Amino acid sequence: MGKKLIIYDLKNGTRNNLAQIGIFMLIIIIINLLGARQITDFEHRCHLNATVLDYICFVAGGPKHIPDNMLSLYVIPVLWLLPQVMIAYIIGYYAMTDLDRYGLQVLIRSDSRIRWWISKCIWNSITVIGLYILLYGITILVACFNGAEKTFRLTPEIVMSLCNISNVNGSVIVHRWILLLMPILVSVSLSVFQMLFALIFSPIIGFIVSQSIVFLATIFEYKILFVNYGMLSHYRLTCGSPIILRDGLLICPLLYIGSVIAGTLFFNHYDILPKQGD
Amino acid sequence: MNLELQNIHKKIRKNNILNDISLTIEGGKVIGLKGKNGCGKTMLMRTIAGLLRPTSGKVIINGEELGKDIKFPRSMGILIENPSFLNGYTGLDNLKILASIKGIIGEDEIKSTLEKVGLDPEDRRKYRKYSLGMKQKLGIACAVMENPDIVILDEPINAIDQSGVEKVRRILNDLKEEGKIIIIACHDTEEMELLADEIYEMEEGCIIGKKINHI
Repeated sequence: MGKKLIIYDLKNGTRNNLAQIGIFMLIIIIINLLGARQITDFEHRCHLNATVLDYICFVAGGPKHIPDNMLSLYVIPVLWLLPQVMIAYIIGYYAMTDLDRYGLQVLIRSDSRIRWWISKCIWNSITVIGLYILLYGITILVACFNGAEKTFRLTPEIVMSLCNISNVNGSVIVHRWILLLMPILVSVSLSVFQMLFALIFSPIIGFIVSQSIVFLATIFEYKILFVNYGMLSHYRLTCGSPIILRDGLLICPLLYIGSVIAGTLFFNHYDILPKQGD
Repeated sequence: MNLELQNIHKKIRKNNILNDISLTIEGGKVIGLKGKNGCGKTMLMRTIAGLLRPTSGKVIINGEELGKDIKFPRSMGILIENPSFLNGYTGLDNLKILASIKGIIGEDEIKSTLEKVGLDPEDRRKYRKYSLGMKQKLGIACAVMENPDIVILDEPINAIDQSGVEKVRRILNDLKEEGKIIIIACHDTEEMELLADEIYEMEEGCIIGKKINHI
């Protein structure tokens, strides 16, 4: 029964969000085209060859590091924020609207509130991973089409000039992990956390909470603002902040597991329907 | 089949939505709930369906306590408020998706239920093209297709024409004869008199009157 619930959520959740997924893809294409133009200009000026990872860094490398007491340097990182906002929007409403409608029939047939919640968590995580596959896939395609070297290492001159990275120190492998794994891990954890808030309070509160964390993390490099672990530009190895990979690998799964458990306990004991009615 | 409500209270944000409701319902009966808007009919139905947890009191179904021994009634069909289905699918496909979750009925049973409520199982129109009456009929078909032991219908005859109403009556009678518990809420007092064996009148979350109907 659990498998059928998950299949239902995957099909229905994707179908409900087709337009939003289309907009997400369009945004990624636009960001990539902007990146490709800047990278190509830079390549010509400096006689360098960008790699596929440089393109990924442009899209997913994170916003500029703001040194302490220099908030005046802050510029809202629109290009980096847009995909995050779209992901939050895509996952923010489905669970609640489904419960308001057809999902009610699904819920009573599932015989279990927990199974219903777990299925929504799985849908949520698969959707976020799928969106990142789209993000990376489109970026790699644009990079290849633009003649990028098909290697996964950063070109320091390019990423330090165009991708908000202050320094490229440390191992190539660590850069790769941070760029390819951590944004997904952070986003998956944040999305389940957001869905928990959306179902307990309301989708708009879930959205505001998650996006506040995202927004604050673009300014402050605090460990508690765990979204920092998804930004290479905010790591100790690029800007000397307290953000390190080991902490991110610990905090994000803990937040994910914590949200799933909190949801399980909550939905097993409290009302999960909108509280209006005759 | 036995359903027992023991001193059900439900409080939402300091408002008493349900006040000390106790009822025992035996199988083979149609129970009607009537009362003004906001009197607690839908909340009571949601509580029986396991969708709302009572603040205090118990819902016991065949000796099993809802929320403790079972999360939802083991065999239940509901139509609470407006039916809502997937817009891009036909009525049949919508019901097939839901039926696949429990897997206790096949396509033939679904088609036969659709015919019983007056819908054409071969109708290729998507749900979004359905009229209000067709949507309501599909909602009823959804509630009864798995032949559940408890059927909860909130305003089942809303937007349904006279021939449809007769079909609904026939379905409810068949279920009653099979010993099922049927709980309906209906604004139409006349129709309620025709459908229900016992009618409970509700006001401000309390049951204030009971009428036994000799149909």
